[in-house]
Amino acid sequence: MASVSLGIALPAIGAFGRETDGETSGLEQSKALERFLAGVERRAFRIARIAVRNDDDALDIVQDAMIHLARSYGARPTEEWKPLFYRILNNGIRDFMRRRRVRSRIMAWWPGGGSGAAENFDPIEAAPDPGGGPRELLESAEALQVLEAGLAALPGRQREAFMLRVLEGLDVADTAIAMGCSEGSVKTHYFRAVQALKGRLGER
Amino acid sequence: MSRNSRYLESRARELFDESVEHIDGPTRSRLTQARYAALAELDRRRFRVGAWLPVGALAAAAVLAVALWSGPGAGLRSSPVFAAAPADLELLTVGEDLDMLGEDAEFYAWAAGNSSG
Repeated sequence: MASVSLGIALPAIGAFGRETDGETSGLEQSKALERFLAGVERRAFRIARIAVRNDDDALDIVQDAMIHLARSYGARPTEEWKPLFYRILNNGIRDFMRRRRVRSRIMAWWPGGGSGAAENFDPIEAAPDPGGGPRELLESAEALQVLEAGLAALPGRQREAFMLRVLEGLDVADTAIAMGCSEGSVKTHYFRAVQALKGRLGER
Repeated sequence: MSRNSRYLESRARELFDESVEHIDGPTRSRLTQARYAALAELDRRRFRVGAWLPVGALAAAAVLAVALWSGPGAGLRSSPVFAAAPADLELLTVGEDLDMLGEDAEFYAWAAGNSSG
């Protein structure tokens, strides 16, 4: 997590119950945050859902990211919210995946607890096969499933770069903030993600 | 970037946008609840900061008062003016007849004139 300093706007004390500038800006801040969250919540859910492949887990991750943003960065300028929010979201997804990996390893040691099927799961193989090359696949009725499976199969950093750049439309600089890496790394991860997706879709 | 890559990007974006539009009602509702929870957190944080502000101001005032009383201002109490204060108080409390002050008024006027000259 980046060490972004915590800026807290202190509200002015109202005299005689009069609405002060501080209170007004506080209300405006709430409204601005509501507008921002309403604008990103569904896309954030879809991004988390593609990564963790479970609705409830994705919703939990999005809710945690929203609360974290409000608590820690609600007072920051609104234009900083988007990369910060996606950074929190990505961290949440990464933490979740790490915990799941540890859990599945533990379960694998448990007698009859796991066969390693989850680890060996290949979403590309599991996706329906309408036949054809990448273009045909992406035009088929199952195109979304194919795309999601392809994204889920990417290494985490490549998936983040592709989703933030293409699906969320962040520029390279904001993607770098969201991913907590340099712009050069973003370009590398992104290039590899596109190549991997094309390769995986074409391999079928 | 090749034409295939550009196609992949634009088609992926299209599919993703469609999927966002088709999120079901219960999920939308849960997302709305999550948003309200986040906004409540923002309000709670603002309230906490606002609530501590008067307490902080009072504490600062108290610290200032203590600093003035026991700090550099403490020297005032040893000044001649402050030192004379107990003597004046004693003069007022001993109960002696203050009319004597009026008897020698001319003498005091003369003494005051001499000391200033």
